[in-house]
Amino acid sequence: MKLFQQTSAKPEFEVVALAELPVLYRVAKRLTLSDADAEDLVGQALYLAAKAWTKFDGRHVRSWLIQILRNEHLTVIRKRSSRPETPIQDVVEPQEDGFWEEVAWRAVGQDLLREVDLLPEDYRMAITLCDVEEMPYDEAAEALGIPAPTLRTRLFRARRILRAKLAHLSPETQP
Amino acid sequence: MKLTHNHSDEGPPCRHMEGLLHQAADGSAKGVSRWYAFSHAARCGRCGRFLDRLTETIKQLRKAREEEPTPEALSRLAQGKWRSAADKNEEPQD
Repeated sequence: MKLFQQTSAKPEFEVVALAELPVLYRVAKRLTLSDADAEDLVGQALYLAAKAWTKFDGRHVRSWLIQILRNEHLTVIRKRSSRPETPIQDVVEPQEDGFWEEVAWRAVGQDLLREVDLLPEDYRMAITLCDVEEMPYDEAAEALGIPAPTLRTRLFRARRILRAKLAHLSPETQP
Repeated sequence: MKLTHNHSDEGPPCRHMEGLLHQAADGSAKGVSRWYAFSHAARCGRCGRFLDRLTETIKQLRKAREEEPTPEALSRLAQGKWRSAADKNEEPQD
């Protein structure tokens, strides 16, 4: 989001914070998988961002805020001692044949989000920023502190894993 | 150069096309890359099918963005401790 290109002055932090609240909350929700934790995380990230606002150069404000959000999340995780992640190797790659027909009618937003929440965090964030929030690859990569090619690799793998997860929802696999 | 296409609709996409198809599906492929991805997908059954379904999945994920925080949560966040904390430049009390 290039908020500062049209005006020479940097806007007030409050204006930016209020505009970005919904995005920050959704990203925090995908990070924490909890409404209450997401709210706490956004509140703390905004506090840290407000403190650092005068030093911020104004480029890619959304990426900058998400970076703060993610760093704060990592701090909280470290304090709590990390929770178990879904091992990537446990995810079974799908057979392409036929399952997309099932996905086409099952792939409604909330079902998809539930499956996204089961992804390992690195992949979950790639999907959240690039597909849900529609951030450009370079800005999403900046937000996650990784090179753009790494982001692309994670995103493509995440989509592949998501397809595998969705394949398990096929009626043919239900009891 | 002879281009090969899978005329069957079943199976995975062409290996060399997968990255480009991802970028075509999410709209990040531009210009010749975009043209080539769609042009290949139009002739190749597997890639066409892959692109259609991936595009649909991404479309559904984008719809999921409509999930907003509740008005109460937004209100709490909008009036959060960051406002005064930023001014005072001190740690908020929990």
